Amino acid sequence: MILLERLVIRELGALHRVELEFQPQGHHLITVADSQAQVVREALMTCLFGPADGLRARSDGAMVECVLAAGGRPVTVRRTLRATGGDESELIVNRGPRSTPIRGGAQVGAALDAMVGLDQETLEALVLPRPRAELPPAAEVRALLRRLLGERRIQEMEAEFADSPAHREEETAARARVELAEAVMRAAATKDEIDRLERSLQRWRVRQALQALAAASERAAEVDATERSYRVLRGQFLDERDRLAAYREFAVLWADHAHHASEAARARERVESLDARLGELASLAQRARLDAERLAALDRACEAVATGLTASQAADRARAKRDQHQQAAHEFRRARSDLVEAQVVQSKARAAAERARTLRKRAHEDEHLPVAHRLWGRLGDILDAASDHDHDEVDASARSLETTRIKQQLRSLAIEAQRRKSRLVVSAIGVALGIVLATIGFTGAAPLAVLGMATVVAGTAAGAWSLWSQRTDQAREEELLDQLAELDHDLQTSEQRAARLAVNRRQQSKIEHELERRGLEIPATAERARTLRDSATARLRRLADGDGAVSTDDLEAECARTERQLAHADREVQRLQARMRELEDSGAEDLAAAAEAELRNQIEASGRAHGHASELAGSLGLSDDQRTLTEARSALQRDLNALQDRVDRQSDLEASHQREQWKLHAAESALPGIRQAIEALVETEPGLPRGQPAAAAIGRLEGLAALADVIAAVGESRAADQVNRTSATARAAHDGVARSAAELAGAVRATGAHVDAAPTVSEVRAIFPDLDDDRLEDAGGARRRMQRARAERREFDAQIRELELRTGAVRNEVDLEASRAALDDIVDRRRVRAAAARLMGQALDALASGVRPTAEAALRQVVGPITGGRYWDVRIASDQTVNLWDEDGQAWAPLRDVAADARGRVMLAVGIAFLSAVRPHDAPHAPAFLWLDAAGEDVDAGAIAAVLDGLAQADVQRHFPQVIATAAPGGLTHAGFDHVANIVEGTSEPSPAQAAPAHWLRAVG
Amino acid sequence: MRFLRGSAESIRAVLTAGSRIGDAPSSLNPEQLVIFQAHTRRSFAAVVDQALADDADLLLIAGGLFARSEPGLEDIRFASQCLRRARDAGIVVIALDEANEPATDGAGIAFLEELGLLAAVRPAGPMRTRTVQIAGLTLEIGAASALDHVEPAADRGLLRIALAVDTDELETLETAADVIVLGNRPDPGQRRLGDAFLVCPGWTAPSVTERRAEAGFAIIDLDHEGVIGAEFRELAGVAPVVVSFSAADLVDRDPAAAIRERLATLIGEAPLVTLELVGEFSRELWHRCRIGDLSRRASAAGTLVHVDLAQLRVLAGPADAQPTRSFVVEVRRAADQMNAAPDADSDSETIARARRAVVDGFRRRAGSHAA
Repeated sequence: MILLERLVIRELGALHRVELEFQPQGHHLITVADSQAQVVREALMTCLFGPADGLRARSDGAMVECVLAAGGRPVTVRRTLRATGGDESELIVNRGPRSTPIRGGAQVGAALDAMVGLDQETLEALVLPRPRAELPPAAEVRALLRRLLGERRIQEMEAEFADSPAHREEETAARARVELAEAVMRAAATKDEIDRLERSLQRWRVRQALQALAAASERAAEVDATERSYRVLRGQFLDERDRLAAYREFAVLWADHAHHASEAARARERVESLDARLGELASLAQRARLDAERLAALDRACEAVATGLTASQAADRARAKRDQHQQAAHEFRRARSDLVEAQVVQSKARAAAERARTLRKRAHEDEHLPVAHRLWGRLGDILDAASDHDHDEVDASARSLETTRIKQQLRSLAIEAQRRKSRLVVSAIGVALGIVLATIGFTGAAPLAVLGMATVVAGTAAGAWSLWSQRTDQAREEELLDQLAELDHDLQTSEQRAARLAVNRRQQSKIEHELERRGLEIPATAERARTLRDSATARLRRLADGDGAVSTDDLEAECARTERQLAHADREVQRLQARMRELEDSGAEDLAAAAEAELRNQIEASGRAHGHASELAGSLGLSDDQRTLTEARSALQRDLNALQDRVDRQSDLEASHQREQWKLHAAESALPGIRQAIEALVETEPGLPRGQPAAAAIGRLEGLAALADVIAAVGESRAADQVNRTSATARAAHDGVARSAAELAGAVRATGAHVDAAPTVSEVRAIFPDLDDDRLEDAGGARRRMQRARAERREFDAQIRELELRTGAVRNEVDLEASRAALDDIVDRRRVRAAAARLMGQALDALASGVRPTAEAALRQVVGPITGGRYWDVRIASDQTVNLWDEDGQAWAPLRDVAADARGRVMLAVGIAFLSAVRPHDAPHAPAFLWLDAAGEDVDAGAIAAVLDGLAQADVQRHFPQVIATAAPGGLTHAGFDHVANIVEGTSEPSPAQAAPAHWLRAVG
Repeated sequence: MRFLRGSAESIRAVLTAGSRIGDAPSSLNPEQLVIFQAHTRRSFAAVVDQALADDADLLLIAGGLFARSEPGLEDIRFASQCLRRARDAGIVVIALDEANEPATDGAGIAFLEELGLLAAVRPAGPMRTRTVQIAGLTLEIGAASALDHVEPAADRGLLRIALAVDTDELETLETAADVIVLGNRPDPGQRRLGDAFLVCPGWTAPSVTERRAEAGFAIIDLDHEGVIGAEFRELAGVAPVVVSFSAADLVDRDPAAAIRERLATLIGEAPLVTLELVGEFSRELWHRCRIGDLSRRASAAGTLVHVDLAQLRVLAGPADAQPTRSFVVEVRRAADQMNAAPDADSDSETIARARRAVVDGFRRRAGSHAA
């Protein structure tokens, strides 16, 4: 089990100095700007797994340090990062005095791997729950389980139980020795079988050759007799065919004669018919000309009627257009009045929306008044302090000048004191010199006495003045030093105020941020802040004393309603204005007048066309309505077309007349030649009739003659074929006799006996007197058995040679029993390994398949609370999708169809339930903490709050005693957490203990 | 700041904590939330009523007056009305303002202080202690962090009362304070702690899941010598009524009707009811209980039903979750299954040897990896 104890970050990414402490149990909240939340998480991963891509040290000496409790032992990992990349790593396992640091990235990584046993991807998957609408695929679950149990450990066990090449090679060698022994045994048995079959087959072949020789001799005699009888039959058929040819020619000539006579009679009849039809066509041509003139008159009348109708339709269209334009003009007038009304409604809606916005703003302020009251008050104090500091800054510069001036004066006094000291020395020397001169003067040299006295007086006066001025300067110096001390004190006070001001500025920033977040005014001056605060106090007092307040929700709804009404009124005004412009642009009234003029023109044109049509119809004796005229024209056109067709066929009739006359002439000229040929044929064949036979008799005679000729030809052909065939058969029979004799000789020699090339049957019987005693019933089967036995023998030999090479043993040395015992032992061990591998696989499968129902059971405990009692049961289907039981609909609802708010919460709960369900109890390195990041895109703070609240009532909580959530300030209420840490501008602030920690509130619901 | 009143020899103080006005648990839907919040407010009002009835001199709120650091206007209005009654009756009200960050949080108590309805003490910043005089007795009341290292009071007329929210703070207070009020635990209690008298007033607000604690508050009587009497007052009707069902109670009848029948006398009468379902339920039986419908009906009648599923196990099918999820246990289960249907390659002896090999290998490697 892995827990976090401490995380320290220095100068990494956007973070300056962060120190976070985590308790073994409880919900921790880290309030941090969204942009920095990821850095905190990445810092932890950097500490455990080395620098992450994209995470940069702000300067050399950047550092991340975390303290983990891994398996109950505190482990400290520290990485110092360089701005240019690279890091120095150190790991300390707290074992008391024996703790020895491990240094170096690789060594630290290896030590962490041994203690934590998880790579970064796995750790992130196990502590950063992802909202899920379905569980991961089975393969992913199984992979995660393996990593939780220890991927290296599982791999080592799988390798131990796997069927390795060495194992397979050992078993293969043992199996080959057994196969070699078995192959040697089977090869010997096969050789005996081959010898026995070979002997039986040789004697069977001799017996078969004897039977074949006898049969071939008998067959040759039968074929010779048959050939002779077929030669006689063929000569009889050739004679009959010559006589039938004369009968057929006679019948053909009489048939030709009858055909030409018939053709001449038909041609004569058709020539007479065509002469009559050519005379009738001349009168029909005159009638067609008269009908064509009447049709032209009807066409003109129809055209006049059509012109009238077109003008009438144009008049109808002009009337419709006139009505349309008049309607548009009416709409234009109505739109103008609607626009005036809509503008009135718009102004009323605008006033109502403005009032609703004002009320909403007031209600919004009321909602935040308690906070605003406090924030404005505190901000006023801070601004006051800042103002004082401004005065301090002005005073500070004056003080600085004053200090400089005083120090200069002190230096001047010091110099003057030095000079005065010199002057005192000189005065003392002068006095001494004066006394000496005066003494000398009084004792001997009188002029010197005066000089000496004057010198004494001057020196004394100078010394006295110096002493007096020295006392004055000392007083002045003390005064200046007092002023200097006072200025120093003022300076220190000012510096303390500056330090407080720095704290105030940070607080001011937070307060302004809070006010901005709530949409409240940010006062620029202390006076304004105080005014706002006093106003808030008064309003709060009034509200607190009052009986009730208008609901913000009601005002929001009212505001939204008036906004909608205003938007609707705006849209209506815009629509009517656009409509007005469109109608103005179209010029509807002008277009209506133009359409009226067009209507009149078309009515006049229609009248003119109708009069012309009536005149033409009267001249033809018809009424002037369009239908009558059209029908009369169609009937006349049909008659005219029929007449014209008949007139157009005159040339065809003339051509037919010429062709028929030519046919008549040809038939009459062929008949004399045919009669002469018949007479010549009757003279040569006396059996033919002398007169002209009937037409039916000619046909029958020709058919019978042809049939008889065909029959005779077939008979002759088949007789010739039989002659050829029997000749070939006779030659083959004689060849068979010779071949059987040769085969017999070969079969006899195959047994080892000596015989001539063409032995006789009796000769062979003499050699094998007991030939019929040894009968082989199925020679083919015996041959196939022998072939198989030989093939087996070859395979055995090849197998034995190969097995000898593979095993290194000689065929005569292998022991079948010993080889089988060794093989059994190897197989037994393989079965144990296979069973162990199966057990491992089934155990992993069972763990993986148990994730779904376990997650389902965990979710069932929380789904009610986190969905506000809407759903109370969860089902995770076999395709891993999550469904919720809809009690009202009595049906399962897919999670994706659930309302967005509840869906977000359930998806996060699914993610956490999955992480809880996937952890086996014997996973050595399973992390026992969760890291929820509200700054991420996947999870929102509301879902985190709800799910943490729900999890408090579920077994899942046992698996994750330590929960860490990051959120932007204000994103999650502190009351939901046991421990709160704030990171402001990259620096963590000392966090007081939660006065009302989360477990107080979790106990409630 | 000093408050002067009377000259009696002893005074009576009402101690309360965990009122959590405005608490909004995420697990409650809007209808339930209305019931819960109304009940929470009634509980605090009941404390004030008791203080008035007992003629108390001092009301000490040892944390947790509001559930949120930014209470809503209605919550402030309600608290101010209650505290105004206390003030008008002459009761001195001192509250621990446990806001984390005074600049931006803790608006509720600050405003009540602004209205003159209470005096706040804070763990940090100014106003960490307040001194009041009641009936000739001088009381110095402060946050635990303000009193943890002060010298014991030499003046016998001065009593120090520390308002603590963390058990870790107690050790440094036992010589400095005469009375310690610890407001961080739901269960009430009292005992001597060194020279001090420790009182845990419990929580005032109702709890739908916490069974150990009785909702209520404490009353102590003080004189110059210190605490002369202490008593815990339970708030009647605040704790939820617990109703329990097992599958056997419901399986042969319409479960929803059976539950409704049993709760009929409670719904509309008791504000909070905990419905506890125990044992193994089939999924069909669980669905037929129609918990959502029951909860909605109860909410409509003014009763909040909390459903406790901690001891419920729904049998969803053959793949029900096994209570133990362990690799070693699953290996043994797999061996049992193989023994039940042995094949040509795996007799019972082979399976037993394989199981030993897997379990021994798994445990041996766990030891070696940890080393």
